Amino acid sequence: MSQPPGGFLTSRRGFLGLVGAGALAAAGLTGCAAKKDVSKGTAVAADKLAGLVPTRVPFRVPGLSPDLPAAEFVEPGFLTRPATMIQAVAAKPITSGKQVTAMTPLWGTIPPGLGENSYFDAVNERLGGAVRFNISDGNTYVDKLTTLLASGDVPDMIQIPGWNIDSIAHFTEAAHKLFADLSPYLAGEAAKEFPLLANYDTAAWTYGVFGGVLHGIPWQNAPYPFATLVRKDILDEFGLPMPASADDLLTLGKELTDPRKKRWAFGDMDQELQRAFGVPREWRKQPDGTLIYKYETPEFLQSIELMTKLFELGYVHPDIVANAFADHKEPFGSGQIVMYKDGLGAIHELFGRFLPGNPKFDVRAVDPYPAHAGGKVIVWRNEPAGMFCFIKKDLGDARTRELLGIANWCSAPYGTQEYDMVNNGVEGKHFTLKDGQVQQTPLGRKEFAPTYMFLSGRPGAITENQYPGYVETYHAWQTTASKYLESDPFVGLRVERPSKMAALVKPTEDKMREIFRGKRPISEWAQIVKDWQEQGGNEAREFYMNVARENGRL
Amino acid sequence: MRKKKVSGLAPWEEPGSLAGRVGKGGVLALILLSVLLPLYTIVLTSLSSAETVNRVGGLVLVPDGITFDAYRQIFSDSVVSRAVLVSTGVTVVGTAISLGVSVLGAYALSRPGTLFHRPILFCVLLMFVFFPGLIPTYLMVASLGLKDSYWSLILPSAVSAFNVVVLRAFFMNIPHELIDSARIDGAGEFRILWRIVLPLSKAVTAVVGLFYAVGYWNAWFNAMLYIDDSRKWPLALVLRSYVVDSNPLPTATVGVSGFGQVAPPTLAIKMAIVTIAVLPALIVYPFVQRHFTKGVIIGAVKG
Amino acid sequence: MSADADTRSVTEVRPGETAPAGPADGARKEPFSARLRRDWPLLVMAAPMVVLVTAFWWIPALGNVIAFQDYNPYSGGILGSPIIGFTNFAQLFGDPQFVRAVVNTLGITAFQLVFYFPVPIALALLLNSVVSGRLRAFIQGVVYLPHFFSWVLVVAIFQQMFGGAGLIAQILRDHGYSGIDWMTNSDTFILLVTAETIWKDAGWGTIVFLAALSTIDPHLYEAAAVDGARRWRRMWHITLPGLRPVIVLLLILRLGDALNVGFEQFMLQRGAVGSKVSEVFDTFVYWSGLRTGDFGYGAAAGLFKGLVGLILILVANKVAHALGERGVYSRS
Repeated sequence: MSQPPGGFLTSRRGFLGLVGAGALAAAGLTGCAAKKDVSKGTAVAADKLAGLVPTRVPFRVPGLSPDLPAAEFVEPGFLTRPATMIQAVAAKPITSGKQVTAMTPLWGTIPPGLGENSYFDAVNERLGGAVRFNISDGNTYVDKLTTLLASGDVPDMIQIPGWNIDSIAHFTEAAHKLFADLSPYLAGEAAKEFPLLANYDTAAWTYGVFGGVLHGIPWQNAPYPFATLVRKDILDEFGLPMPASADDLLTLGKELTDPRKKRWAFGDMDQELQRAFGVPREWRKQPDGTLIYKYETPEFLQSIELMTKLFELGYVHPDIVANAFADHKEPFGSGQIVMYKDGLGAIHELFGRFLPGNPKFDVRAVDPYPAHAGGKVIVWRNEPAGMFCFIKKDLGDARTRELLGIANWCSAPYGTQEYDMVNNGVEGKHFTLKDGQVQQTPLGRKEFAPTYMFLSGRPGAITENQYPGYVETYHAWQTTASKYLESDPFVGLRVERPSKMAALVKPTEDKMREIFRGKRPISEWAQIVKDWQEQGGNEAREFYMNVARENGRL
Repeated sequence: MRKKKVSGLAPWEEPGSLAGRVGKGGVLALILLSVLLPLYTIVLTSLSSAETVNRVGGLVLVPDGITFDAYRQIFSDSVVSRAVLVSTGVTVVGTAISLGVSVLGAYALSRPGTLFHRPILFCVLLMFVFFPGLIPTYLMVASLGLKDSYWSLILPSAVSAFNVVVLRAFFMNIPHELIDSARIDGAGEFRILWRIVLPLSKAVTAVVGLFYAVGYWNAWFNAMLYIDDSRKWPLALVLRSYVVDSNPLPTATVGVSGFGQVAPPTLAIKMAIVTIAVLPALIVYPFVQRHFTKGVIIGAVKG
Repeated sequence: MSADADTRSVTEVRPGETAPAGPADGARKEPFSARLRRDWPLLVMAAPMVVLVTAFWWIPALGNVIAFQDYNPYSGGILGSPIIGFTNFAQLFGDPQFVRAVVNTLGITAFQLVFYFPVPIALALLLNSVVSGRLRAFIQGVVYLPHFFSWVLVVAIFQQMFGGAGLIAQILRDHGYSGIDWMTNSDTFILLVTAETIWKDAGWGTIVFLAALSTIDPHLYEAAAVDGARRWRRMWHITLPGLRPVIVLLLILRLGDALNVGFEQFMLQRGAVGSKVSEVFDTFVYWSGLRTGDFGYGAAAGLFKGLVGLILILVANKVAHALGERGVYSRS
């Protein structure tokens, strides 16, 4: 049975018949006909992008001014809910009366379906026609997506999160084949027909370009991927300050960790430490005009060393040691973890979950800190959009406009009736107001589900003013962080990551996590980086260098 | 001569030694404890308030106020009660079909030397090791018009090679004389199966029925793939959506956050779902176990 | 215990000798039409199964040809994607991690064949020896419950018991000892996964054996007892032989699954113990291609796995025949 598998196969007539003699001759026994990459990277230059996406026309909600002003990279903050919500879209977008099918992910409980759900009825009434949602579990969304795309069986509108796009081979080809080119309806001035879509950030729109064609309506997001979240109440209890450098973490770890009290200082911190040490988000331009990837920088190794130390000293919660992807929120809420890295949306989620049972519960994002006191601070500038809504191809001009109209309607920003419908439902039915706060009613809990919001995106705003101090502190955090934002050499271009390189991230960082946990020596990192280079990293560098050169970024 | 349920020692059986009995009792107690203790914390957590769970930060070991909130929340959801109906229907109909098809097929294959017996058996065996891809199966289900139909939850998974092979093995254990004499008496194959083979195979038929039923009850993947209308979702799929995967959303890395007002499921709800999922198993088992009566075969031969 | 005692099939015919190669089993004494006349009711009985399997298994399984293609569902599909021979296989075997993943997998399979496989049998025997019918039913009903827990939950339960912040560690710390952490020890990982498997599935696994035990003739025990055979002798000479066909069958099937040791269980714990010990075939294939949606590669891995499984089943079956067992696939 130790026969080479190729030899075994060729001895079986059945298989030979399938392969065909020509291909076999070319393949030989070891078989090596060239295979194309599952997805090549693509890049679109800045000037060409401008011709594909809408010209930005800011949309102002009349009479609405935020309590805390918006600035570049700072979202507006609202300390109270506006007394009246204005209607942003006057005309009903669906004019044909034809039902719209849409597929969206869901993390949460399933709402009753169309015909039994007054929330859907209410929104559909405003839209002028019914949207029938095919809601699919977010955790297995990619399985369904892959199957639907590969069999060409897609609904009128479909939401595809970016992290799923990474796991779909040949996605750009799929998009070309199945989804409409939106440029004819939206590029430049054409977007005036859809003022709320024209209101988006141009950077976010450029991310809707796949393989040189505008396919996706982006879900725009703040440029901050994550921060160190800390239990301020526990720090105060110990009279400890927030960390001001990565070095401080060692002191904090020592002070806070006490296994007998079931308390550990840290959960997962890896990317926060990389950032603190000044590692670039992806590529860094070298003085000699070449690019190096984050893994290749000396700072990355330093961040590994510190993180490994935190593990070694026992400052990291054992459940996280055992499973890097374990739920952090549960132990953080109970005070078993004092500090960990998470997305910024987690802050209000945590408040919502733990404040009711623990009035002292206070979570804050730590201001971006350097590796050593007084060092240079950077914040990674995140991609401007992370999820996309696509419209089916070849539905005809009128229908495509209709669907874009729905997306436009769903894009209304905070302070509009449409936003309220998309995010909360109907006042008095699905939610009531108490002290100016939205309170979900039992009917709302039953019927409301995030669905329409996935049919487009909308500009961000900090609105969760039900949590004391949250809007102010988070707005202040964004203001601070915005000063340190570091752009990579490709900002303003639309570069689709080659899938080969994307595929390497997880295995490589898996090995990094093994180093943290003492399963590999730190000295192995050099070899891991070398493997990364050989398995596709160098190839990716060439691709990115070409893109950079062609766009004058080197 | 058939023995009734053996509820005590048979007259010929010698009592075990004291040490043996104590040892056995100890081992059984340990085994029971290893299952009951986790089960206890799971049920207790499902009955605890969100505050208790948050304070403990994990499964609850010491009771601190009992509340049925989690269950109330799950069953207040109209989708759940309908999903129970869907799952029950699919499980009952599916198990009946699967059991019927498998018993017939296994019997047909339990007679070596019959026409096409070998290639059919080989094809069934190959089902163990080779699997069709997701996309071809999807295209097949769609082209048969089964999308959004309950049949898509039953037909693609109706035959389990394992169950067919196990049934066949038990059928082949039935003494040949029985079948041969029936055939000499002029009984047809269906009659032999119904009158002789099945009554002698109650235990394995019950077991295979249980395997199929459990499979249908817990299946969610086909529903996720083929059923767009959430009103037709089985319980397993509906409950899955409550239990957000252990892996956190990758939202942190792409910076997307806050999908509206959805409160994440509490641990209490997750554990209530685990409890709900285990409950049918607890209810069904005695009915299966009933068929594990000793000595059916020989009773039939001699009687 | 010769199983294939069916008189019709005993006739020895060497395949090469028979002249007319009829359909599948042309090498028979009886003419095809006579056999058809005799066996048609059996064919009718098998028909529903054959139809279902063909529609939902075999026709879709033909799609596995993409293992030999540079498969792209958007340009070409199964019929039009370029054929690339064994490139996908070369990619699979050429990966330096491949050997380790296969060795790990087979190691775990072998370990579990010794330390997991007999557990359900032993448990079934133990349960069977419980005298009180009610108590027996209760214990059976309880021990099979963990099968219904997901791997996520099983691993979480083990973590809460044996992890660094778990129950045992906390008790030790409360008494002044240092805590333990069995969940992150890569040296004992194989013990850990086997313990988890036993806890989750041993009770469930007993069910088939309990069913098999119920088919053993109690008169045999009585006769043996009268002849003076004690408990252990009766178990050795009556119970185990009675279970043997089922044990052999399940053993062969498990061997066919040699490259399957579970995906989720290992996926969940690879971070804790490192991929050096936890990389198994399925996780390897997932990381090296499936995760990025490379279907052709996934199909190649599946075919390789199936081929290994098939060979192991056929070899094990031969061995079983040689030992006088029926096995899973008779030669007739």
